[in-house]
Amino acid sequence: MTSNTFGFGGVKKPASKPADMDDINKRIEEAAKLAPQPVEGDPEEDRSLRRAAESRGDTIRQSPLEVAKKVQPKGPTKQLSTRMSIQPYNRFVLLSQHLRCPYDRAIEVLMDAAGVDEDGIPTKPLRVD
Amino acid sequence: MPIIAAFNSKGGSAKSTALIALADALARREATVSVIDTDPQRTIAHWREKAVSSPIRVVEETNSANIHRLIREESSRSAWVFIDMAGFTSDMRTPIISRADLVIIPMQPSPEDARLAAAAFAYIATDEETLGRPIERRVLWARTTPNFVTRVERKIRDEVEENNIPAFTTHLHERSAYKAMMVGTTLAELDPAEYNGIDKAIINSDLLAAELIENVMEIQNRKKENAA
Repeated sequence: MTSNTFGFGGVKKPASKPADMDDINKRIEEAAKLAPQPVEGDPEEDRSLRRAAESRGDTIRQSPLEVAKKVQPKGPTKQLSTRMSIQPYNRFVLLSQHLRCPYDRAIEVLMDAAGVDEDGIPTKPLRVD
Repeated sequence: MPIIAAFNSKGGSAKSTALIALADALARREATVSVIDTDPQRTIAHWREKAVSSPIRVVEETNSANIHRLIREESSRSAWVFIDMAGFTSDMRTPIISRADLVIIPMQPSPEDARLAAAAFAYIATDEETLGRPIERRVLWARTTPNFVTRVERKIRDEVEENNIPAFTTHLHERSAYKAMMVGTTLAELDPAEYNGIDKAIINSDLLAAELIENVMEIQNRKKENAA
């Protein structure tokens, strides 16, 4: 710990530069002089993978990601807040991430999947433990 | 090239801060730098909208169908191309990793970050199998406190070292100047009267950039030797 008997300890000290900072600067300046080096088309391994997948009528990638857009609510809204145990909380948040939709939409998706009608009545048997 | 991607399935792992700090260190020396922001969080795109005087070129892309074309275009425009990957794994991962000279995995020394950084390494190992060639990757210790190591941090770093996980020796330190930069400016533009440690952050980002350059040059030389 530095002493502060005379108040020097509180003085803002300049950043101490490592001894080889000149060398560091030189290295970055050299790298800055690099000219762009365009990459070629898709790498061969990518193309061959795609060809192999296509020959089997398969795809190697999912369809392009769609970024979730903020959905404007239709009509009036009400606040719903709740405390949950960690486990169902994690399940729900992860589900929303997988579905790439906000929590309110995820609740709607779950209710639709469970067959809950407009009056909140399940149209198919639901088990509540 | 060089093409450098930053990946970690954990959000807030300092991916964007690391990439802006590195890109800024190069841009300060008038390097041509592009950053492709593929993260729907748009952290770097948002930063660029405010950091109007920065010469760093930022382009956004969230559609995997366009990523190869975009990398091709940016690599013909800029000498240094950085790619900020989404904070979750997506169909963009393999195409980007297939193009990157180096994948940086920023990681804070916390158990949660360590677990998710290990998962990021596992994803890259899967891509290695898919592509049939090694993928260069390095952990970047982020948001560490200079000259201070907690017990948890020591434990995590020991595990990384024992398992021969490659890591940058320079850390991206916790600095208020980095946080201020992320609001939408460059380190050099920050007002020293308002923020502490700007000079220290600049030195830190320069040291990190120099280590990155050394790593990338080694990787490219190795690739050339293997191709010859």
